[in-house]
Amino acid sequence: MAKTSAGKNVLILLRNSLNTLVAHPVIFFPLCITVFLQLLVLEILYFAPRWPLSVFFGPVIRKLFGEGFLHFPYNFQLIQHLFFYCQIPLYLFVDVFLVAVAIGIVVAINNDKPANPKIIFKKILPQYIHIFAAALLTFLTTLIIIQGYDLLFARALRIRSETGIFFMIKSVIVYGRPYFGLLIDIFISAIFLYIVPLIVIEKLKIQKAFLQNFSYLKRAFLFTLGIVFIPTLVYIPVIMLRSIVSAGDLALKVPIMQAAVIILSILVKLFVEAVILTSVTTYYFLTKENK
Amino acid sequence: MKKILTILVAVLAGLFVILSLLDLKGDYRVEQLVWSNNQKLAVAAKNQETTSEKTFESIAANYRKIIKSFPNSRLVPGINLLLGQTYVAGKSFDKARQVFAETCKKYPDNKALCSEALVLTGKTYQEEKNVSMAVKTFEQIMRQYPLTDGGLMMPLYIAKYHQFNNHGQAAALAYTQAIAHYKKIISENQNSVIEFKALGLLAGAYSDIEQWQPAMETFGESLLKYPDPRTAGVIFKSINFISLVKLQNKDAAIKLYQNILKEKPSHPLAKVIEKMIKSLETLKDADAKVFLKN
Repeated sequence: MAKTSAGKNVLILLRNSLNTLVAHPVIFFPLCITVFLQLLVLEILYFAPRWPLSVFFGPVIRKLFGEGFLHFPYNFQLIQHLFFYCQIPLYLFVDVFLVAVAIGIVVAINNDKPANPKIIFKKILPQYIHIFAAALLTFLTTLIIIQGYDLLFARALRIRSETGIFFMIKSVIVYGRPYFGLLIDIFISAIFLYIVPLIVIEKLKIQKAFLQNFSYLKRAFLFTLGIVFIPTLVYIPVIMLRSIVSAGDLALKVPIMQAAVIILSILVKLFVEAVILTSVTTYYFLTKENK
Repeated sequence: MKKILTILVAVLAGLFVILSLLDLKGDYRVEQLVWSNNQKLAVAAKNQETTSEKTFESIAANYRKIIKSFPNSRLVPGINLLLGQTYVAGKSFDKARQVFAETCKKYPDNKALCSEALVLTGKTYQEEKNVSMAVKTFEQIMRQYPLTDGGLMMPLYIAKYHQFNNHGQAAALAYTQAIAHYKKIISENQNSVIEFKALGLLAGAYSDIEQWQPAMETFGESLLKYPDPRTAGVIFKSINFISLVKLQNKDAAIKLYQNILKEKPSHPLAKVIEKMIKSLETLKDADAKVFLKN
């Protein structure tokens, strides 16, 4: 693996991470399993209104959301919501653990050891509970901040002005919702970025990893924010596409587009996650070496 | 690693193929086909003047094909109506009427469908400006299917139709008949969804002929008997509009709301009604005048 002396230069670190990913595609392997599980969930949701899955899902959807969502093309509107809810347990129980496995692979590559996902998986498994706790911490923090934003959003909707500063505030809060969501995600990810690498590399428990995470963050907060922020910019076109699809009549004219955007976002997230985790692990090693 | 990834992709693809094949003849597939053809029909109907007859024929042929390919689908009766509507959009009114008649013949027990088919038949006469046949058809719906949506709507529809065509006397008579008809329906179908629908139509008939007081009272009766939050919003708006704008009498609505609470203190929307009374009293104290915004 190319070891850079670039230190705090985020762009050089990210470029090196990309090179690492190209040279060692095995890092993608655990993330591909995450993608597989997400696509499997999406596929099940797509077929939920159709026989034979409708035997189970039909009554549930009818009871919770209404008959309309069992029919084409309105089922696509429901897919988006249901997929979001399904992602929560997936993230907590599987995604973050597989990210930890990917970090383990980067560690193995850094130490010039064989990067066997199966062996690394077994090695990291005893740390599962701490990784889960880290995921839960990130999730709950995000949830609280999003709830706060929702209160702001609800207040903004009550603004009646059609011109002037208040109208501008309303427009920014209401139409900027997906972008604020992304910024919140970036911020929270950056704040807790070192917890999982610390659990995987140093075999720390969640409490110690949490505290040490902040000592790393204190030293290089902006740099850490950059590690998350720059690769996540790739996700902006997906948000724009999602807004176009849901706001225009494209969702009605070509309903499958709604599912296609979800698939695209899953694939883009795979790439973004891979770059971030490789960068943060590499940076962790660099600072450790410098010490 | 490559082997595992290939297996995962194969699982996704295999599952997709299997689940698609399992429901190849299901209603979801019919919905997809019908929706796609509906899109074509919507475009053709929007550009009626410039769309060729051939295009409408092709859309109709698609509907026929769906009916033939999925004869047991529960969506087929509705697709028959869409087929007729395609001919309506293409101004082939005779063909349309034939399809509607055949549909009703095929499914004589499906009252809602037959009523809808007759409504569409009546509208074809309306398009041809054949007033007598249109009214005759609408009256037929009233007689044959009085409790279907179409049947319930018809008395008011006929009155509106006459009013729209400036048939002054006929319109006045039709409104009187409609009001009597709805009153009868209400008395014969107490505590049912039919009564709720008839109350709404009766209030609509009173509003059309600007009999605001009975219109408001009918809305009030509907609110008292059917306190459904999904429909209450429209009813509240109607009552307030009549009281504030048409009658210029805030007390009318206040009194109506107070009576509702008096008759049914445990009304599920009691809190909303109380708030409404307070708001109206505030307006009254301020001696505010309410006008329609142009």
